[in-house]
Parts: sequence; structure tokens; C-alpha cells
Amino acid sequence: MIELKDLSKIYRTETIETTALNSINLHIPKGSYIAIKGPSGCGKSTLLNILGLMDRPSQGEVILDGKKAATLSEKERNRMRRSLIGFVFQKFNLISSLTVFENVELPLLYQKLNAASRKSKVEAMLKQLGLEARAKHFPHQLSGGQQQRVALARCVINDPELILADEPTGNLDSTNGEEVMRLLTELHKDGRTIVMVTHDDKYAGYAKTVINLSDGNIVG
Amino acid sequence: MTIQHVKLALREASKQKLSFLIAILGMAISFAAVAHLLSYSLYYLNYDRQVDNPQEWYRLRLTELHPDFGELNSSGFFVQTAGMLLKDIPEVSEYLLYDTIDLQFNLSCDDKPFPMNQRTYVTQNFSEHYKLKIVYGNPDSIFANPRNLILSQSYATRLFGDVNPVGKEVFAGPRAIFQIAGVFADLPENLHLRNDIYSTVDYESDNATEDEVWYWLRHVRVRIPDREAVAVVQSKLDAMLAKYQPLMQRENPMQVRLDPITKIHFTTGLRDDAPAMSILIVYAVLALGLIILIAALFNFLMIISLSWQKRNDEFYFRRALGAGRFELFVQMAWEYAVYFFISVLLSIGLYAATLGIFNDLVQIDTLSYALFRMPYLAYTGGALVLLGTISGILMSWRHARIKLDQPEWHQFHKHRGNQVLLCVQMIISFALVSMALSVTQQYAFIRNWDWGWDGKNTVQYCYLTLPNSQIPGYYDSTVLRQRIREIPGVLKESASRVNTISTSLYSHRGFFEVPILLEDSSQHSPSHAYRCSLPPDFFRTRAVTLLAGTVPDHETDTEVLINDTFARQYFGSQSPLGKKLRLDIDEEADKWSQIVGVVPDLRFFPAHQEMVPIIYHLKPMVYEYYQVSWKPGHKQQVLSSLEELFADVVKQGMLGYTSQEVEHAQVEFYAQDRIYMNLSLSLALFVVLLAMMGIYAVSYASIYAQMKDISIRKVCGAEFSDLIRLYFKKYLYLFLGSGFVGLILAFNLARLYADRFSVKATGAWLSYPLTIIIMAFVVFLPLYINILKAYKADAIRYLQAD
Repeated sequence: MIELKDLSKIYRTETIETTALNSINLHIPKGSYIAIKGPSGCGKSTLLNILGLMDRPSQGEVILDGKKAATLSEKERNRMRRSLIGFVFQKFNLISSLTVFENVELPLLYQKLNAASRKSKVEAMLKQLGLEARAKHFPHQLSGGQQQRVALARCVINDPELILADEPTGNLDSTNGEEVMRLLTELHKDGRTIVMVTHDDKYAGYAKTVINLSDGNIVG
Repeated sequence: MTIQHVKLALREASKQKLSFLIAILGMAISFAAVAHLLSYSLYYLNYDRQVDNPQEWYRLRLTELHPDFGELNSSGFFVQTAGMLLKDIPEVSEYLLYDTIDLQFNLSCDDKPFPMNQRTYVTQNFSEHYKLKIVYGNPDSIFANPRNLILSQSYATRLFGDVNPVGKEVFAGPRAIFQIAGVFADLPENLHLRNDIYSTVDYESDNATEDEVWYWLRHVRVRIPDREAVAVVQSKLDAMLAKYQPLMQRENPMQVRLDPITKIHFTTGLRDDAPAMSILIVYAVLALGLIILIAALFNFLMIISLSWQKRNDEFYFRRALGAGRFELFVQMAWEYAVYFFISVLLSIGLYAATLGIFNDLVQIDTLSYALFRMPYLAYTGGALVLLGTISGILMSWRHARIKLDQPEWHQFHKHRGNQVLLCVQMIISFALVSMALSVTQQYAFIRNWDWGWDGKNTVQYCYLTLPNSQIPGYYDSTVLRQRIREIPGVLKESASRVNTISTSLYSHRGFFEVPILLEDSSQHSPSHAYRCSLPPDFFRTRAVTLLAGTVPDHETDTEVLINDTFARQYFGSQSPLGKKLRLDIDEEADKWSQIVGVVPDLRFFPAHQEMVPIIYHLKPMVYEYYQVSWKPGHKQQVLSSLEELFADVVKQGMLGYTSQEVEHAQVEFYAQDRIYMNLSLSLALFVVLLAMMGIYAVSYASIYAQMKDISIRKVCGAEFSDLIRLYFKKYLYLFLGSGFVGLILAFNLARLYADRFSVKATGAWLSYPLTIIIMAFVVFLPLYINILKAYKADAIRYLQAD
């Protein structure tokens, strides 16, 4: 599903050059569950952002679902993000002025689905995640675990094949962390490809494959 | 601490250079613009107030109650009887008479031509009335002799340089008829009775029963120290008018009105007065000033408010470190004061630098009313301090309200405040843009108004001649016309008794209001119309096509033409051709004239005036106006030949001549309307720029504050068009709401302007859709730019940020 060839990412300022990723070669087959591990600043999130078409490499190639990312226009990248990829962040990244329902509905809105379909899909998803009673609440009225569940609901509402999770448990206590990991595991069982960034061995253990990253290089 | 606050204010301004430049410069420009507009308004609002106790002086105005036309107002009163009548009214403590003769004489002084297009007769107290500063001559005797001429300093300098002209004699041919007795320092420009040449004459008659004294209507002003006595004076004068009416040859009841002289410059609709200024324009200019000030102030408040909102964290920390609301208020108030003070300083510089430019632009003496002069300086200073203090206190107190336990999302109410400011600014922009476009459209329509006769490339000479004259001193009009036609480069020439570029319907300009009798008319008789005299060839020469009938090929007394208004007013749908009317209804002779043609409504007077029923008499007894058109490229040649011709012609008589280009005169008619249009347009442009900058600043702040939301939406697959839709929708409500209110406001403001004209621009509604298009750019272009910038920003930065 994902092929990274000789991928590098270098950040440059006037005086400093920082290599975040250094000639990474990686193949992520469809249906895999990968955890990327490593200390802070090793390039985990950069790698995830490149995989999610949110960032561009300085060098090398990203082939996503058979398409070379470098050749995609901004519109095509948007389209791929919308239909193929789902994101989960450490800080949930819910829109504070939208309700739970509206937050989950967001990807469907951009898929130009009609209101009735959106409503039934969102309601089903909220029910599946036990959030139906919270549909009209705003994010600040929810606990951290509930917020992350809403973020997960938003992530999978458009049925993406690839889920990119950036430290999804980083802001949660262990109970809620376990709950999120359980949900991710279920999503994997449904056939989705999951790439998760974490620095916690316990949560990395949920993945089928663990990749260790250090100073921008894959070390194991 | 204070120095710390000032330093911080300057530091913040330097950090957000563009925003503060917009706020401070916008405010400074608006202050300077408002100061100019105030000077402009003060010039007019001080009209005729240069006398002691101006509120005690009134002009007498004669009003005739006409059965057809309603009230016919004249600016004058029976000048010869005024003094006599007023002696019987003890409530009147003083009076002043004034009469301008605009007959041109062929005069000379020191063997050089002495141009005297206008001479003003005044009573001897005129000097004291306006406190004339006598430069040359004996102040006690300058008005002692009717032969004396008193000249303005600028006029005397133009004719004699720096030489004292007192004692010089003015000749008509070989005879000395005047002597220059004095020179006075120029009077202020905003005087109703301002002129360059004055002389005195004793108008007073001691016998009110002489019917000839009940004839001339001229400017008469009286002083009534007791305001309560004004009604008494009016009733006494009304009683006198009723008593002497049989001597006046006026069949309609008459009344006198007492116009306060501080308002006469704004009294419109008089038949025989100089063009007046519309008080509505003065008020509209003041309103424009207020609008500009509000727009700039709101822009200023908005940008400062946004800059404080950006520094929310800093204020939270200060609160956490022990600062109370009052301490924050003091800090903010100081910062506000610094910005306001810089604006004021900058505006003073701008105002001083543009004083001369504005004075030249509006062509009136605004320098005398510059706000640097006392007492205006004190008022302006006070107003600025008040404005700065109130706005500063309100703003700072509101923004200093920061609670530590207040969640961040609660801060959105401050954005709402900005939305309100933005909404008001947009209403103002809508109103001003729409009004400026509407006013421009109306002005362009009036300026390009088809006057009904071809006056392009034409100059009009005014010189009194007689047809086939054998009378010594009067030139033969037939010979003069022939000589004009022989000038190389002349395309066409015409002549008339009536002034074809008149500023008003006034008998001196060849229009005579006459009673008429209509034969076979269901209308009650006698009726009234205006008569003017033109030779039959005028219509052909000036490309006037008749609506009905024909123009006789010879001068005639028994056949007349009427204008379209006359035909519609007196004949309705019937054809007036062949109908008869009588002009001299008091004459015993049964002298009827037949209507042989209907002329379109020709305009020989400005578009402010309603069209009146006009009868064209086709046998002028005198020819006073000559219209000469030149072939393309022959202007200079024709004009210099005409000057030579008229200089030669006047040698034979005592009358002089004047000339004026027709198109130039038309432009002059609308000078104030043009200035108002230019002011509206430039102020609209300024407000639009302010609005654009304000919207840019507000949308930038609002989008900047939502960068995380935008990034989330991008991650969820939002495209640029989705973001555009999202934000445009928010501003669309603002656009529609402010547009609705602004356009209603504009409609009413523009109507004030358009109502001055008796003719209205067709398709005047065009300004409204045009405004909507312009404002759509003003609102959505800055928004578009900000959304594009936000869309192109690095989403990851915001998604990972706390």
C-alpha cells in the first residue's frame, strides 16, 4: 500500500541544517499494523505527516496506493486524504466551536454527501463508539478519552483504508489509552492499515510490526 | 511606569507595523479631511455674519400670492419707498438699501478703459454696516456724493497698480461722470453684498402715493433689535402693502417676509436673486465629515482591539502576576493615548500641508476658517481631547476585563465587538460609495444635459443694440450681426434679447413674467407666463426643431411660439396651434397674437429651476446678447476678432460689453455641485480603502485565530473552495445586512442632493448595483487573500501546537 524509497527530510534555516529523516526505505503492505517508535525528535511525526500527504520529502519517493505522491496536485492530495486516509492526533484536534456531531460529520461534508446520508452515518458511528448521548456536546464538555473517541469516529467516518495515528494515547490516562488502543485494534481487524507513532512500548505492543527510528534512520 | 507603558505601546506598534500604520494613518487622514470639511462648512455657515449683531438684521422679501403659481418670492422690496415706510415703524432701528446695476458702460480713466460691469448703489451706512477699512480716501466723505465711486483694493490695484487713485475722474466719452473717492480693503468672500465698485444714491421718496416709487424691487435690509417685534414689523408692512396696492399695478395680494440675513444665502427659489447655496449641501458635507470620522475611528478601534486580543497571553500573565483590572486598564489607556496622540500629530501636519490645496480645490476662502484660527482651535482641541478620552476609556476598560478562570473559548465575545465595529464601517462604506456614485451620476447627467439648443463652441457677447438704429450712441444690431458673420472662422451667429446663459429667470436677463389672456380657454384668465424675445432665425441657427407648427420667416408681433411646458399647462392634449393669446392685457387695444409653433423646453437657466411656461416673442425691440460659434480650430482667431470688433463698436456709444463662453458658464453654474461630487467621491474612496484595510485586518485576525480549525479541516479533506465557502458565508450575512442598511441610507442622502435639481438623472438606480459590485470586491477580496494565505500555511505547525 505504501512504498517509501530513499526518503529524506531536511529542515534548513540560515545557519542550521537538520536532517529529520535520512534515506528511509520502507514498505507498508495493505492491512498491516505498524508502530513507529523512537525518542522525541527522531522524525516519527515527520514520517507520519509525509505518509499522510501533509508534508513533502526533501528527497526520495512516496508511493501511496500505487500513485507517486510527488506527481499529485494539491487537489489530488486533498482527494486522497479525504478518501484514503484517516488521522488521529495526540491533541485530538477537534474544532472547539463545533459539536461532537458536527466534528464527526466534517469529512463527510467535504465528500459532498447529502445531509440525510451524513446524519445516518454519523449517528451510527457515534452509537458504535458509545457517544450517541454526547452528539450535541462541545469538545470542552467531554473528557480526554471521550474527545479521542470522537477524533477516532471522525477519522473512520469516511471509511479510510489507512489510519495514521500520532501518539493517540499521549494525552490520555491508562484506562482511556487502553480503550483507544482497543478501538484501533478493532479497526485493524476490519482490514484497515494502521500506522501509529508512539514512544510507549506498552502501546507499541498492540502493533504487528514495530519500527524503531533514531536520528532519522530506521534502526530496527 | 508611564514611560514603560509608552515604550511598550511603541514597541507593539513597531511589531505590527502594517496594522498600526493603517490605523494611525487612517485616523490622521480622517481628522485632516474632517478639518477641511469643517472649514468648508464654516465658510458657508458664517455667510453674511460679518456685521455687528447679525441676528438683528433681516432682509425684506416681497411675496406675491399668485392663483396659478402659488407664492412668487422676490428677494427684494420696493427700494424707493423702503426708507419712507420704515420711518413709520419705530421697531426698526436702521435700514440698508442695496442695488446692483449690471449694465456695462464704455468708460475710461487716465485714457485707459475703465471696465465697470457692475456697480452697486448703497446707502451711506453701508460703510459702517460692514466696517469697511478705507485704504485711500476720507472715510467720512466717500459716500457723500452720488458721483463718487469707491473701489475695492484688489480692483484698484488691477487698474492702477500701487498708485492711489483717489481723485481720478472716470469719463464717458468726453464727459467726466464719476470720481474715485475711496479704496477699501477687500471684503470677505462670504458676503451676500460683496462687490468691487460702490457708489451711493438717495433712494428715499417722500411721497408714497407716487405710483412710480412702487416699481423697483431691490435688496432692503432692516435692523430689528427686539426679536419679539419682528411679527409687529411684518404686520405693519403687510398693512402698508395692502393700502398702497392700487398704485403697484399688481393684482395679486402681497405680503412681506423677513429673512434673517444669516440665512439668506441659503434661501432658494427666489426669482431675482443670486444663485444661493443649498443648506442641505452644507449639512451633507458635515454629515460626510461625521461619517468619515466614525469610519476611521472604528477602523482605529478595531485594529487596536485586535492587537490587544493577540496579546491575550501577556495580559493573562500580568493578571496571574497580580495586576488587577484597573492596572490593565491604565496600561491599555496609555497605549491608546499614545496611538491617538500620534494620529493627531500626523493629522495636524497633513491638514497644514493640504490647506492650500483644499482651498484651491473648492475655490472658496476656506483659509479664513482654518481650524488653526481662534476660536476654532480651542473647540477643535477640546473635541479631540474629548473624543480621545471617551473612546480610550471605553476601549481600555472593556479590554481590561480579563478573568483568570475564563476559558479561552469565552473570549469570542470580543470578536463579536469587532464584528459590530466592522458592520458599522461597512454600512458607512455602502452608504458613502452608493451616495458618491449616485451624486456623480446626477452631476454627469446635469452637466451633460441637453439644453435644447446648440451652444457648443460658442461665446456670448452682451452689448445693448437696437435694430436699424438711428439713435445716437446705440449701435445697429443688423450691422453688428453682419460684421460678426464676416469674421473668418465664424460657424454661426445668433442674437437675442434674452440672456441664453442666465443664472435665473430674472427680468434683467430678458425674461419677463407677464399676465396673459387666452382666447377660447377654459382656464380662468388672466394667466401668467414668461416672455422672452428672440428673432425667428435663432431657432434654425441654434438647431432647435419645433415640436409642432413652424417658425415664421420674418420678425413679427402677431405670431408667437410657445414652449412645451406652456402647451401642456394651458392646452393639455389639445393642439395649441392657431390659438390666440394676449400679452398686454391692460392695453385697450385688442392686440392678439397667434400661436404658430411649439418649441421644446429650451433651457436658458440652470437645471435647479423648474421649467416655466414661456412665450417666444419674435420681434425683439433691442438685441442685447450675441451668440457666436466658431469652426473647429478657429477659436482663438474668432475670439480675438470679436474682441477687436466689439472694442471698435463700443467706441460709438457709452455702453460697454462683456463676454462669456457658453460651456464655461454651464460649468460655473454647477461649481458647488461639482465640488460636492468631488468631495463625495474622494471621501468614498477613502472610506472604501479604510473598509478594505479594516476587513483585511479583522479577517486576518479571525482566520489567524482559527488556523488550527483550518488545519483540522484540511486534514479532513477540505479544499480551498470549501474554506472559501465557509468564510464567505460568514461575511455574506455581514455584507447583506450592512448593504441593506447602507443602501437605504445612501438613497436618502443622494435624494437630498438630487432634489436640488428640477431634472433628475434617468436610470439613477444604477449606482446601487454598482455599489454592490464594488463593495463585494472590498469585502471579499481581502477575505480571499487571507483564506488563501491560511490554506497555504503549514497545517502541521498548528495541529501539533498547544
